[in-house]
Amino acid sequence: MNMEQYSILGRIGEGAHGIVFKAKHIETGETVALKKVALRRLEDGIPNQALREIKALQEIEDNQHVRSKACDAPVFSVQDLKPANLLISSSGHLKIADFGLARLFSEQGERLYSHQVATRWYRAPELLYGARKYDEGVDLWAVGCIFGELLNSSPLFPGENDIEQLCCVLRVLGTPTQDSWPEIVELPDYNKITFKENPAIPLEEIVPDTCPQAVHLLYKFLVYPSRQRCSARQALLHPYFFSSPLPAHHSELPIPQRGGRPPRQRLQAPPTDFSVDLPLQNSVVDPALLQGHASCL
Amino acid sequence: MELYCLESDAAVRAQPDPNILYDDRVLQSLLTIEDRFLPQCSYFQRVQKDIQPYMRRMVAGWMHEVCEEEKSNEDVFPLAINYLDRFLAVMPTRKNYLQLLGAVCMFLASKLKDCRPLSAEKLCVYTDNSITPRELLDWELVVLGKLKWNMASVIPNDFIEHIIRRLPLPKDKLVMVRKHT
Repeated sequence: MNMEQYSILGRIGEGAHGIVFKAKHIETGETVALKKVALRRLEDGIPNQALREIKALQEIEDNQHVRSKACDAPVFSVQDLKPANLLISSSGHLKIADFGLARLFSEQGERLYSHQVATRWYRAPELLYGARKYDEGVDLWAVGCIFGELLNSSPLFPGENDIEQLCCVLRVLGTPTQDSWPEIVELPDYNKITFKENPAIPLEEIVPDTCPQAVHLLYKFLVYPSRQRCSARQALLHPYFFSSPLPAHHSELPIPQRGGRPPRQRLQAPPTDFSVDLPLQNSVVDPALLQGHASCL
Repeated sequence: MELYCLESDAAVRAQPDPNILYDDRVLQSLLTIEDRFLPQCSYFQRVQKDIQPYMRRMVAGWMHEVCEEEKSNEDVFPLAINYLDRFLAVMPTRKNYLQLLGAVCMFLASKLKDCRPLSAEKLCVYTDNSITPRELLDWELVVLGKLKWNMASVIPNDFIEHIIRRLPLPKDKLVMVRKHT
């Protein structure tokens, strides 16, 4: 790719594997996200992270794939789900970006996975205990964390480091026991660290002023055993999505404004810039503006 | 609070995912997208002037030996051959570059499939230093460009588990059947 075709408009974020810029394609005026990948080990050419990331993004281009990822049996593990990686397209579609860590499960299994996968706040407890064998449950945990963050406008488990991360989770879900989490004894870092025992805090207290269906759905995601977490398919059938406010068609959603196009009718002026450093409430709809439309707010 | 570290270097591998292997849509998608990665077979007649079929056989044999010696993931060799054929189907190549091309194809396939990819230096040693790391890295970009960065080819190995799961095989024979595929 020739960088002269783009003018850089700003910096969107920075991950472990590269910096993402907001840029404009000079010829078409289209706004794009560019990821700059550092060639750390020059002697070995293009990094394998980059090759695999391009592979995942190419597969995503196929709309059918995207749809199956969103609603059907999970065929794909994203492993780095977090608010900063969720993009809303000009048509109001939610897209998941940053596939630097994505490997398709659709290949024959038996591959090595790193346990340092998800961004800390959204990392499933089995990963915090060093699990190397894991499944789509790590994504469903992250979905629970993101859902909770949307309800609260602040992260549920904002650990400053890996050990504090575990403390944050254990404080809310209660110290795991062999009853609440039988598989814990098989995890590599189990017994390496012990925490003071404490009971679980009801999620109603963690996400106060939230409608009961939302709390109930949150309970379905935030459980210790990965296999007990609600699947994406089941979650879509949860009463939360069938009670007011009902899910809107994507054409009715407030969308971020893109250069050159007249904004569609929306409830509020959308946020024009995103940054991982800004609080999430700058990037989501102000609940006050939705009062009267949404009974649970 | 006691903290100690027991990290080991052993490769721990993920389990096959039944959600994938029992879903007919996955097999159907594989069959559909496989076409995109099939090389034009008649390149010896249409594209190549210098390279003969027996030369491809020689370089393929060498590539297979390297993959075996390095105990690469079993997908690396077929994937590298797919890259080689797709490249030769679009790019007239001189025969003295054929081994360099083979090395680049393994270099790339290993990056996609191996936990610890083959290093440029090691591959050069396997050519008895007839190529240099600099050439390998330069050609890496040429090959990526010619293959339009479409490196996630569907290869025959992708079908094995899907087929085995659909066959009425006795459980105790599964390991043997898999070994012979």
